[in-house]
Amino acid sequence: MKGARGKGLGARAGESAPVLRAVSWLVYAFLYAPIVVLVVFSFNAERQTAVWKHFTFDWYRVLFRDELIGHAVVNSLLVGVMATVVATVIGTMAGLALARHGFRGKRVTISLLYLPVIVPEIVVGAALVSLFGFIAMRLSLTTVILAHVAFSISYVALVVRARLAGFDRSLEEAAMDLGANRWQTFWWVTLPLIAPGVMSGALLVFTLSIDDYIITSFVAGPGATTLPLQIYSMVKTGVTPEINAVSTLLLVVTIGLIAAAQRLETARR
Amino acid sequence: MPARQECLAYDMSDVILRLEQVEKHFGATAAVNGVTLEIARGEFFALLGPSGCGKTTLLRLIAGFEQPDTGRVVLDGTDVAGVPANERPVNTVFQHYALFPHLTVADNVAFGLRYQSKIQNPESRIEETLKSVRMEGLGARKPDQLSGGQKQRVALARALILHPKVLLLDEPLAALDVKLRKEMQVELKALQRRVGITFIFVTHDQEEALTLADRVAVMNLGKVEQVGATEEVFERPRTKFVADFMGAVNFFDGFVVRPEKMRLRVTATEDAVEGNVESRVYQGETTRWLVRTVDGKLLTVVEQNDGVPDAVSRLKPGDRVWVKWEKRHEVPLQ
Repeated sequence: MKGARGKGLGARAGESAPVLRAVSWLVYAFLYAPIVVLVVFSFNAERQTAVWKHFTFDWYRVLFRDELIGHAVVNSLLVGVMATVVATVIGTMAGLALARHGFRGKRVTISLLYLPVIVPEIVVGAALVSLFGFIAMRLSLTTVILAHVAFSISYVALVVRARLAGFDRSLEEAAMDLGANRWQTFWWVTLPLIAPGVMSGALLVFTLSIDDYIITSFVAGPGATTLPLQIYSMVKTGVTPEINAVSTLLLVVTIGLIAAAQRLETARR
Repeated sequence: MPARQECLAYDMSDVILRLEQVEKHFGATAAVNGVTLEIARGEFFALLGPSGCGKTTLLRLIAGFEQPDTGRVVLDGTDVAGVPANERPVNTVFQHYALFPHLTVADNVAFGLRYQSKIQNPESRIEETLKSVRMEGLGARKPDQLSGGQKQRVALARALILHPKVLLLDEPLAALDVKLRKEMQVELKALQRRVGITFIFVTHDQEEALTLADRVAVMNLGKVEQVGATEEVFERPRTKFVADFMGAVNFFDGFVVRPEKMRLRVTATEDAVEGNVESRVYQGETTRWLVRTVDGKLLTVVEQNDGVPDAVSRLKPGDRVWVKWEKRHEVPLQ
């Protein structure tokens, strides 16, 4: 957004054509008005969402005392952290294997890795729930974690593989030449150099995990309510400013993580 | 001829590295096809040849990045075939230096020390090594803050700190500009003399090989065409390939004459070949002439420029000319 406004077509069009500028603002309004409304009304003292009374932090106070939401947040963090750790390790190994080794079926493997990114979530959810049924696995927080790992590995593998595309192999040979074995070479040379890619993959996984609703709704067992599930069940009985407040917090966390991931991805390439 | 005497001083009975019938195939192509070589302790040795001749593969076989299909790599009396790179007492200076970008200069140089047992006082050894390549006080820099020549020095320091039995250098000066390359040639040669370690370097630049090395092996199609003292290989090439690679381009039936050994005459001369000037290229110190002989052969003659115009320097394309050389400058080929 910053780039488009700051330079290039947007800037020039804005100077020469007021109509275009107006249209641009309308598009931005269309995109962001709901979010602005959400955030603004999370600070509204009136329970009716339609009327503005005055500024308050009350809903955030209510939020922090709400046990159901507290429980859901703990679940979401647990799932997010577990899924991030597992998916990052597996995804990094997959990315390394794809970037490094030629093996039979490599092209197929790459295509298969892209699939989870494009397969409709509802299909993934339905598939997972029937798989868990088939292997007679009781739905719980564990099944949620497994599901999140499953759809996240691809993202990490793709990010790490991209990071390795410009990797100078002679750096690893130099390490071995100086006496490091394979493991030492990986630990002291390869990993530090791909760390930004690995970290941005991890942040991406956490972001995907923390706000996933569709897949989670299929595989969550009793007592495994995550924050998005909790928010949705609250919305069913009517939107309250409390929901606005929790959504605002989720928004801030997500934007922060995505920004951090992008920073890492562009850092020191 | 001091350079010649210096190289004769090497004791070929004190062999640090011996390659015996080394072969390495990649798929169906033989990158190294039966190479046998002996390199003496303390030598500055060049592997010279065009790209794809197998010189880099040979270097990688010595380093341990590749393992030979057949043959032996004997390092200081031990057959190291099958020993991985990290266990060989050999270090490498990579073509593009391969400095670790996430580590400082000092940490780059110190990298190999942590894999060596009982290093006493590593800090002073790092500082000492940096000093030996004139990089003292720059230990805190990161590689991307260094110039090309400085990176080269750090790469040398990183390898030399481990006191390898053999130092391998892959096109060590190729990434530098011409002026810096000349400076580094002098420096590299002096450094090698000072540390006394055997240097083996790969290059496609015959002038660089002649300038730096004591002995040179000229490679072609995975085989060594000729090995010997630089002067000998330059003056007495044994095969057409070596002669051609060394810039001796005037081939006759069974022998070759270097262009700078030929002279131009503007009048008919006994035992000279008659022809016409085809072109002249002024090269500063010398002028390169192309002469088409009366039987259609193209000869290259390089004349020194002495700055005083004479009959030869006034020759123009199309002018009649006689090319003269001494019998002793004819180098017989196999």
